[in-house]
Parts: sequence; structure tokens; C-alpha cells
Amino acid sequence: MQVGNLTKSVIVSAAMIWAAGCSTTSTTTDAEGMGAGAGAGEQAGGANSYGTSGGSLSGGAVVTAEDLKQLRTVFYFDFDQSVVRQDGFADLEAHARYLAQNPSASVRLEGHADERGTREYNIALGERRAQAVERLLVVNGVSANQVETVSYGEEKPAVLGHDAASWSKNRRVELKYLSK
Amino acid sequence: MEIRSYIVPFVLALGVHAAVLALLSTHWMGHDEPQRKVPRHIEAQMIDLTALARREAEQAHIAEERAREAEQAQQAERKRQERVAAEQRRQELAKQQAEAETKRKARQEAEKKRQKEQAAQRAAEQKRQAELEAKRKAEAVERKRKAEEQARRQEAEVKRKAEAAAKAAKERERKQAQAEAELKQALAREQKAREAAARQASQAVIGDIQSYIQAMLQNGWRIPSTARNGMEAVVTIHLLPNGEVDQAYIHTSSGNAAFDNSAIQAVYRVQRFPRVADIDPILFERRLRKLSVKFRPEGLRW
Amino acid sequence: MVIMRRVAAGLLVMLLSMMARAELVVEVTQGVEAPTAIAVVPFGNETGSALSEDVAAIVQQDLQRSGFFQPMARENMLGFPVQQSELYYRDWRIAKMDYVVIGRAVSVGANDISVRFELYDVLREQSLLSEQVTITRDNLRDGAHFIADRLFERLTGLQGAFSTRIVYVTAEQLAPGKQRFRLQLADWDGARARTILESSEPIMSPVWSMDGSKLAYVSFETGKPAIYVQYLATGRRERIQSFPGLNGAPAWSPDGSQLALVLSRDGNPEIYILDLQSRQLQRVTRHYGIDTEPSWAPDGQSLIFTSDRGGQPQIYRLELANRKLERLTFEGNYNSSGRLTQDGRFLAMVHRSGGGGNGFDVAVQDLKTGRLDVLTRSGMVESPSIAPNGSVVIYATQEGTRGVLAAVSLDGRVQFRMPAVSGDVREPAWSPYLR
Repeated sequence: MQVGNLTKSVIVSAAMIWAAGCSTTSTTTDAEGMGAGAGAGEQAGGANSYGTSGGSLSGGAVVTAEDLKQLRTVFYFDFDQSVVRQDGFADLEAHARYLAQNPSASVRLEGHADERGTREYNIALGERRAQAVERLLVVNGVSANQVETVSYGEEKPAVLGHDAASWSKNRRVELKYLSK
Repeated sequence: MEIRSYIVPFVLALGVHAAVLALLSTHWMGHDEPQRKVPRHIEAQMIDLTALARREAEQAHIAEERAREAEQAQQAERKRQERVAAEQRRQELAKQQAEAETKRKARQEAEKKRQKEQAAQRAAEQKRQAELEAKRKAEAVERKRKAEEQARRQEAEVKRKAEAAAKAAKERERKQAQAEAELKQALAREQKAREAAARQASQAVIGDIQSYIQAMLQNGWRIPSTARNGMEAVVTIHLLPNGEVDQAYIHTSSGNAAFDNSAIQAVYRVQRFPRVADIDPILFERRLRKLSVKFRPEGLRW
Repeated sequence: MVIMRRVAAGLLVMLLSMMARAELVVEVTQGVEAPTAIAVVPFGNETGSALSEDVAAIVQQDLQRSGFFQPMARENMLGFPVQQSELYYRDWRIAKMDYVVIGRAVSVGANDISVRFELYDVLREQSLLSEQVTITRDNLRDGAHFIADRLFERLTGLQGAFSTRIVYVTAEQLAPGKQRFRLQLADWDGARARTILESSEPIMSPVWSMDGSKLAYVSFETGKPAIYVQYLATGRRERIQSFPGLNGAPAWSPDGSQLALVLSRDGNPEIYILDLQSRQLQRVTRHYGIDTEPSWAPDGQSLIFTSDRGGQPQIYRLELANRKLERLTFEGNYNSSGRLTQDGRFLAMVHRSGGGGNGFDVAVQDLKTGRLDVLTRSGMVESPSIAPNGSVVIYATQEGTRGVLAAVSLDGRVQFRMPAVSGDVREPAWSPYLR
């Protein structure tokens, strides 16, 4: 590999990570505005995810356990990507506020990939997706020891299909509160 | 090669050798002849001793007679003659004296002359001698030169002759060999031409049969999965005149058992090359009874 | 005189040499790239009772699946000779067979049978092999694979891999969100499968130690991935030290003393080498990209692995002595799961050619020439694993909505499906030679 490319990759990746982190501090984004990804999110309701309703929880308000039920817990990714899509930022910020306000609460982030590509690569991809979400939570004030990550790769698909629609629902991170 | 064709050159060569030998031997004898030593020529004047003695004897005899006559005259005329005699004597004496003197003088003169002559003669002689010597020397040198030249010439001549002879012999040999070689070449050319003609005919046949055999084998060769580009096995095939494979075996192995096997199998799969049966028997014997097949796959994936 | 004779002699030599021309050489550079034609005649049974397995059929299937042979269908055979006196080469030659295998089983003792098997070269009309093997009645498949190995070795010069085994993982959907995972061990042809581990959580990445005595794999049975080592003879298993985050993709070093694995304990999936004796861990990759799927070169001098450090997954080789890194794959936009043949020459992998829309297929790259060949057109392959003799690649693929195992000969000539197993089948791993 050439140094130039490496450097470029480093810069681009760093910029992306930074962007992913930074944008959470900005104002709430309209999840519905994000097109295809958001659509996929809505359809994913059958599994563990909840309907999107990010708008109601904007601002620095206290997030109650009741509020949590309104938040999305499944966050989707593009193919071979581990960058959190903007449509998930609002809900993730809300989760982060809740966790920050309740230090005894903890979450487990389960990274997944679609079936395309090899299993080992996909498990690494799932791991990176979980880590990307974890990073978002941490920059929003969550303590690192409140979060654990695990990657299942393509081993636990949400939808058992071999088409683009199924795949888009399987490229995900599931956020699960751990019972104390 | 027939023996007869050797005879003439052999005899010729023998003759040439003999000639050379002869020339060489005379040359050696010429050298054996002793160089003649030219003598020194000392030429002295000869003095006739007998003639001198005779003259002295004559003179003595004349003197005796004169003495006797004088005695007689004396006896007769002693008295008269005493005076006369005395006179005479005196005269005689004077005369004698003068005569003697003259004689002496003459003798002296003669002697002088003789001596002079002798000296001149001696000088002349010396000169002559020197001249002679020089001439002799020059002559000797000339002779020697001439002799040497002669010897050289002879030698050169002998050598030249020998060389010429040898050269001639060699030339003859060369020509003979050349002629022979040319003949052979001509024969070979002829043979070649004949062969070429035959070959052209047979080459067409061989070329034909070669690609025929190749095609048959390519059809019959099942390249195994273990084959790789660059592998090469050479199979020797013995054919029967009817085109049947008598035997086939690996001449050079590819190092891969399956590959070698496949090559042999290709031959046995073909089993018979029917068109070989149509080949001229001589051509078959020469080119087809035993042949080599190189199995060398091209364009395999690996 | 002498000169003359010399000239004459020279001429003679010339003449002779002209006459003794180079012998005819025919060059054959093309042939039929086809598997070897072989007839495996049903074996005679002189044991007095029916046998539980059709030994000749297993032998025939083994040979066919190697990709090297094209066996003759039984219904086309004119006769079923069981000994040499009954064998007529001519008949088999007419049937375009190159080789014929015949055999017969006889009883020896109460429970053992002896199978004599003979291999004949039809074209050369000679015997190539005549041996016998004694086995117990309920191990006839072992006997059949042994015979296939012997025939394969005699005909190809390569060691047969028909007596080897495979392991693979199956997943069954019991209810929505409820699965059962099994680690299975079977003959190379998928027969005689048995479960060696069962779990409700994923089981992944089984891999054989080079001596064939144990497996390493990843199990999520504790809710987190951990690497286990399981001894096949006793079933005993031990969990090796696990770390936060990813614990995956174990690979035994050829000498069995080390395990390469992937950990994300330093934040990012990286490759480490764990010394099994000293439990010392050594990190060997260092890149913010994904580094995974380590696999040892047969000589143990280097690791090959998948990395997306170039923007997309490609296969790299890391020299362990000097940490020299070399990218091996350049064709296509997705190359992963690289595995080297035992001779180190060929790299089998999951490959997706550029242009998008294309699926994932098994490809093999000749590391000597760089040539890459795509062997399958399945579109959804995973986990290629190479037979120890390099003849066949087994892989997982999709059939309908199920994962199944299939195999392709390394030259791509022969592809076949492994027998159907219940559940979704994945991650086959081919054992080394087991004897």
C-alpha cells in the first residue's frame, strides 16, 4: 500500500468518525428526511425495533424509562459500512441522555451484518458497527463501562431472506438494556 | 572405397618419395667432396750450373794452350823477346791490367748491371710475386666464392628441385584428393539431389504422416488434471509396418506420474495409425519404425 | 597418404551422419482436457451375506468427485467381471475405458471381511495394482475410501484424500429468534455425520489442528464469543482465554503450538498469535481497518489474512519473521477467506468481481503466475476449504433459502453437492490427512 493512500484513508476515516461524533452534538435531525434508510427502519418493526418518533424527545429534557419505549433500539447501516446513519442520531442521543442520567443502567450493543461476504469479515463488521454506536453514546456522556458490545456478524439475521430488503434489515446494531 | 583406387595414387606417391630421396642424397654427396686447396706458387730464377762449369773448363783449356804457345814463343824468341817480352809483359801487363781493369770494370759493370738487373728482376719478381699473390688471392677468393656460389647454387638447385618435386607431389596429391573429394562431393551432391528429390517426395509424405500422427495423438491424449504448462514427457514409439503400435515407453519423464501415464495412454489409445501402412517400406524403416513423441501441453490454465 | 585416408574417413563419417538422420519427432501440445475414463465394476460378494454398503459405488463416487476421473455408469457395463480371468480388455476398450477396477469381498472371521481390489490398464492390457484390505463389516465405508485412496495414488501420483473428514456448522430455526446450532463431523463425502457440539447460540469458525486430533472454534454459548479447543477422541473441550470484544477466526499453526486469532480488545479487529504453551499473546497486525481470517501458510513462515485497509476486503500475506506485508489479490472488489494449498502455490478464496451486482464465488489464484480463475457461478459462496491434496475445494453456498455444502475440483472441472443435511449448513473445514 502506498503511503499516500494510507494517509488519505486515515484522514478520511478520521474525518468520518469525527463527523459521526460531532453531528450528535448538533441539533436534532429530522430522521424522516433521510430517505431509503429511514424507510427500511420503519419496516423493521417486526423484529426488536420500535417505531420512529425521534422529534418528541429533542432538547435537553430528562429521559424517563417510559420515554425509552418510544425510542428506536435498532440502527441500520449501509453495505460494508460502519458509520451510524443520521436518521439514528436523535434516538441515540436520547438513549445517551438516559444512560448518563442513570449511571446504574447499562446497555449491550449487538452488531450484525447481512449474509453477504464472509462470516469472519462480517463479524468484524458487526463489531465495528457496535463500536460506532458505542462511540456515539460515549461522546454523549455515557460512561464506557455502561456499554458492552458484541458482534454476531451474519449469524443472527433479523430477517431470513436473500434479497436486498432483507439484507438492509440485517445490517444493524441492536441496543438492549441489561436488567440489573 | 575400393582398393584399386588407391593403387595409382600409391605408386605416384612412392615415385615422388623416391625422387625426393634421390635428390636429397646427391645433395649430401656434393658436400662430401673435399674443397681443393689452391697451392702457393713461389717462382725462383733457375741458374744453369753445368753451362757455367763448361765455360770455366773451356777457359782453362784455352789458358793452357795459350801458356804453351807462349812458352814456345818464349823459347824462341826469349831474348828478343825478353825485351819485347818485358815490353810485352809490360804492355801485356798494362793491357792485362787494363783488360783486367776493363774486365773488372765490365765485370763490375756487369755485376752491377746484373745486380741492378737482379734487383729490378727481384723487384719485378717481387711485384710479379705480389701481383701474382694478389691475383692468386683474388683468384682463390673468386674461386672460393665461385665454389661456394656453385655449392649454394647446387644446394639451392637441389633444394629447389626437391621442393619442386615435393610441391609437385603435393600438388598432385592435392589435385588427386581434390579430384577425389570433388568426385565424392559430386557423388554426394548427386546422392543428395537424388535424396532431396526422394526426400521432397518422402518429406511431403513424412510431413504428412507427421501431422497425421500428431493429430491422432492429440485426439487420443487425455490431459490429466495434474498436468501443468511446462511439463514435458517424451515417449518412444515402435511401430509395425501396418501402423500398429508395437510398444511405447517413456523416454524422458515429466516427473509427474499421471502425466507420463497419460502420454503413454494416448499412444495406446490410438493403437494403430492406419495410414502408416501405406508408407514406402524403406521410408518406414528409416523414419517411422521408431519415433519420438514429445507431449508438451500448451494453454493449460496453469 | 595419411591425409588422404583422413579425408576419406571424414567423408565416410559425413556420409554416415547424413544417413543416420535425426529420428522423427512428433510434438503433441494439445489434447482433450477430460477426466480419466475408468470403470469401477461392482465388487463380487463372496461373504455369504449382504453387505451394508456398496463398496464399489463409494469408490466410484470418490474418484468422480475428485474431478480427476469420469467413471462409467453401471448400466452401460457389458459385464461385471470380479476376477482377472473374466476381464476382456477389448470390451472395455470398445467402451472407451482407460482403466477398469474389479474386486470381490470374502469373509474372514465372524465380523471381518477382506476386499481384494485390482486395477487394470485397458489400453496397455496390464495389471497396475492388486491389493486387499481387511475391515469390519460396519466399517465398509472406511474400506471403500481406503481403496479409492490407493487407486487415486496409483493413477495420479497424488496422495488420496478420501479418508479425510470434514466438520461444518448447521443452524436450525426452531422458532422466531430461536435457533439450534450444531457442530458436525462427517466423512469427506458428507456421509456418517455426527454432532460433536450443540448450542442455542452461534457456533463459528471450526478449524482442524494439523495433526487432525482436535478442533478450535468460536462459540457464543456464554453470550459472548470465545474460542474453544475440542479433542475429537475424547470430546473434552477447553476454553482458551477470552478478551473483551471480538474473539474469533482461530487458525492453528502447522506445528500446532500456536493459534492465530482475531481480537478487538485494542479497539479494532486485529490479528494476534497466541502461544498455546506460554499463553503469550502477540499482536501481528496494526491497522485501523478490519484485519481478519488469518490462515497459516503451510510452511508456517507467513500468515495470509483479509483486510479492508485498501478500502475493500483483499487478501494479504504477512511474513512473520520480518513483518513484511504483501497484498496478494488485486482482481475484483472483494476477496476474502484465503486458503493456501499444501504446496503453497494456489490461493482459494471467496471472490467478487468488480462491477457490483456480481455474487461471491470460489476463485483460485495461481500465486506463481497471478492468474485467477473463478470456479463457481453460485453467487453466494462462503468458507472455502481445500482438501489436503489440493484437488478439491469444499465450500458453503445457498440452495433456495438453505445453506448447503458443495465442492469443486481445483481445476473447476467437477462440481458437486454434498448430501442434504437438515438445517442451514455452513463453514465446512477439511481435515488434514488423518493417518
